[in-house]
Amino acid sequence: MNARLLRWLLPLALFALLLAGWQALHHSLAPSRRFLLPSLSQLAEAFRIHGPALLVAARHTALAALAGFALAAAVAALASLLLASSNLVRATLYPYLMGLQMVPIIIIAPILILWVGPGAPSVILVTFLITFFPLVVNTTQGLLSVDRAHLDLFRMGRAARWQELLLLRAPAALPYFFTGLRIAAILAPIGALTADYLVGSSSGGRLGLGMSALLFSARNEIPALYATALVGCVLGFALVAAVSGISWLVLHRWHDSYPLSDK
Amino acid sequence: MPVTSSSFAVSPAGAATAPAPPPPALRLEQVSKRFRSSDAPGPASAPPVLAPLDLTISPGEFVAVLGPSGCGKSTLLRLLSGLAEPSAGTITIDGHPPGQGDDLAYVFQDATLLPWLRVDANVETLLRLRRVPAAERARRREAALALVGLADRARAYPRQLSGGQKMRVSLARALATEPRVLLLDEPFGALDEMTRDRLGEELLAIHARQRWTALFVTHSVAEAVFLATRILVLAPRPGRIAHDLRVELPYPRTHDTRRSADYLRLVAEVSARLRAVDPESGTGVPPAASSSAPSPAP
Repeated sequence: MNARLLRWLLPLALFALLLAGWQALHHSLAPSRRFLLPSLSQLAEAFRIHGPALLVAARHTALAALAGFALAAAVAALASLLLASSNLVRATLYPYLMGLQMVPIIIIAPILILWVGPGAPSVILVTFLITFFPLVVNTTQGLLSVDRAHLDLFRMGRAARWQELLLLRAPAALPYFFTGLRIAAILAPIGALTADYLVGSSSGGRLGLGMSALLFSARNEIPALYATALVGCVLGFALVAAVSGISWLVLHRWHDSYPLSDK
Repeated sequence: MPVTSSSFAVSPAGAATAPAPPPPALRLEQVSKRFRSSDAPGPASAPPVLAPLDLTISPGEFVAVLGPSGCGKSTLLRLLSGLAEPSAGTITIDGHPPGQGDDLAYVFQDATLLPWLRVDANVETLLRLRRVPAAERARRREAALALVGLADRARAYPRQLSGGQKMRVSLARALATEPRVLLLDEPFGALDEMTRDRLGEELLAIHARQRWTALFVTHSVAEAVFLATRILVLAPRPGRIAHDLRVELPYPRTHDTRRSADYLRLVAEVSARLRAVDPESGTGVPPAASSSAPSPAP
């Protein structure tokens, strides 16, 4: 069979199988417990009723996730250049960077609201805190993992430190940076959604996905909760796909993680 | 017994009498290198990597360096390129200390191309570091790529090239700096024999046109004899020059040279001398051998 066709057919077949399994699982439950796993038609109904509201909520969450993600990427890129520039700087700052990731968001969320104000600013800040660490760790690693012979080449070319950093270390770190971006892209929507759940209640009317989930949960609307979770997943997929696309544009011609084209 | 004339022999380099020699391209005076005990394991009195070493190379000479592992070949190149400092003695390259002046280029064992740059940008890398203006960079890049026969691959990425092509680009990158002295560290060692031979021939053709001074480290006696006007055979522990030989094969050397009786005889002779200084082979040679190199083989 055509390999190209198979590439589309196989995922579609698995998807259909999963849907069928879901439906079968729903019917296998005792009638009194079927509300725990709504049927596909109930799910569709939830989308029909709450779809427009979910779309608006998803837009708020997506924008906040994107803002936090972009901010983390930019700050991580600059911070990594600083960290890679000296062992002393790295040894001094690294514990605090790890600390940033270890901060229990649930506990400091109320404090964050007091700091930067409710709603979007808090959500962006939480997303930043969650996505920053994998970005900075990967990028710094990349900046430090430079071929010794390439370093010798630059030393012999009497490259200035900034030339070595920008013309050698930075491009060499790009694949690592994109690995960090992929991890961050998965974390960002979850982070934004969680933040919205925790701090969004004071957002003054702008309903994100987290807040929507909170409302559905209070009203015991289980199918709507499932619908909200699915929309959250779609956000994550969209962001990962976008990052993969940009990564392909930047790396596919020269990096060995992409197949060699004939041209 | 083959007919041997004096111009087809291996002879001690000092024996050649040149009238009024030009200022040397490369001069080492009592240069030694000893790693501090903190750098290397073993007692502080570990033998030096390079014994005090004297060497003078004239402009345009093509010098091959042969020697068993541990004889200090790599250390010698690192000292000359300014990547390492000698423990004692002075090194002068075209009038400068190492690491100064723009007249020295280095060709690495691997091509060491930057994978994210196309061939043309790779060739320009060193010029960019030196802030050579764009128009001049382009001129030198095109000349260098034409010289190595890769003008049509300027827009390719390194991973699209074969091993031999990568090494050509690496060579072009060094030549684009328009060097007076070229240091080559086993540049063709990783290539298959046919590619290696062809690149050797092309390197000689470029050398004939540009006349830089070459110091070419290699493991291959055949390659050394084919390329060089002069061969240094180093002995290990401590690294020192055991033999300093002139290769009296006429230029231009071509593919046919490799089949000539003189060439084959010289390869055999140099191989024997190399074996004699290699402690792995059993018969060591005292340092004094450098001053009393035997006359050409019968």
